Amino acid sequence: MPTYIDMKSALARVGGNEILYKKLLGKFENSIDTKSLEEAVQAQDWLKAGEIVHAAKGIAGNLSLTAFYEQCVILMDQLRGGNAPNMADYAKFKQLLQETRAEINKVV
Amino acid sequence: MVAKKKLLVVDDQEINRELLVALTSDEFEVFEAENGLVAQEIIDTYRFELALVLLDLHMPVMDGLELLKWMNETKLIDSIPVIMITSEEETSFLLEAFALGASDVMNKTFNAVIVAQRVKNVINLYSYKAHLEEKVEAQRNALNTQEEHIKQMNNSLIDTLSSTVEFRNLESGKHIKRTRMLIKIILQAVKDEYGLSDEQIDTISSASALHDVGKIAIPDAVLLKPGKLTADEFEIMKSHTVKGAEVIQGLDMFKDNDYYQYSLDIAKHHHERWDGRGYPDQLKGDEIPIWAQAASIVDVYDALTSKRVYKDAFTHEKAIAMITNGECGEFNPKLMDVLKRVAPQLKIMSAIIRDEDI
Repeated sequence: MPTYIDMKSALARVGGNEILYKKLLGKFENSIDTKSLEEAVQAQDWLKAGEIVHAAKGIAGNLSLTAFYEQCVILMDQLRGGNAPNMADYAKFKQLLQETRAEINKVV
Repeated sequence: MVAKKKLLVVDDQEINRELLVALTSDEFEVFEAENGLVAQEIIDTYRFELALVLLDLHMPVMDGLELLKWMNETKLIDSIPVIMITSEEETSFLLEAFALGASDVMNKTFNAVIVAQRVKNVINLYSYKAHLEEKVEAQRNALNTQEEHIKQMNNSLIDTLSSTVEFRNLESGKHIKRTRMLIKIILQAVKDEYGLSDEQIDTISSASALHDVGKIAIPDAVLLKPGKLTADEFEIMKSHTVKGAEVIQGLDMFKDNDYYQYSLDIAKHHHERWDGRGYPDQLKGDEIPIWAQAASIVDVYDALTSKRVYKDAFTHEKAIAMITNGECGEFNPKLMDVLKRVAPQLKIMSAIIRDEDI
């Protein structure tokens, strides 16, 4: 099973403040604009898609959502400069996002 | 309780902002902005109260670089440090951010310890820099004050030295003061033609105080003689120009200074005349430095309008007429025009100084 939430690294990052971390995790659900991302992908607006994935990557990194973060990195590498991504990686991105959200719901 | 320092977090992602706020709010009063435009308003409101800005690069509406540019234009970047928040793929923007005055960079994946330490370091660095600049400024001011003080001391020493000569001559020290003032009036009127700056004129005016310093070497029997001088006595009297130049040449410490050249020229040549019939070198026309020409006119004017052991004071009008119609030797015709023009000024200034208490 991939590491969806690296609790240890996350707590180290926020100075051991578990309450804060869980509060931030609770906000993850709404922090990534998946609707706009899907629209951008449909319209092949790769710059726009890149912006959203870039933001997602920043948040995932800060919350230590390791598996999803790593997929963000892969997808971002492909999208850079407005290039089309590998659609399989986009699908995996969506899948990991969904799984991560489910994991978060168990914790929060 | 000491008020917390203010810190501004600029990031379009709410979670990132909230995390940074949580990591810094123990020590700071933290403000948040979701883009550069909102940040601009906050910075404009709190200005130098802000201790630091944490700034994301990519944001909608107005991004980090745009905000940095604005902080440059307004010079706010000199007083408010900025730490950029970036991810590794944004290194190309970083060069620009640094060029625009960003102090440091922090990875987007924050770490509590690093955030706290970086923020502290940059704030300390900036206050240290500001402190240093203040110190340098204070030292510069102290030096200027000192320089001004030394200048004043030099002037007053030179005036005192010159005045002792005047006192021996049974005149008040006011001749020096009037010479300084009147020479300024004349040179101001020809400054463009002779390419003189205000600063030069000030220096010449100070240097003119030494014009008669050579009289210190003239024996009382000649200097204080009430009647007409014999030919021999007059030769001795004339030597005060060359003696004065010798005294000034002894002032080695002034040699690199404009002051030195002006005082030397004036002491030596303030009795030369335009037609070459003056002394000691019979210089002609503009061979005589313009400051010495001005000094000679002022010296004659002041001698005429002052009472001496051998004569009464002439009126201002009489003195001007005597100088301009050639009774006191020939002067630069341009300076004669100037003299007529500034005569009313001379009359007023000279009277004011004469009436002052010693």
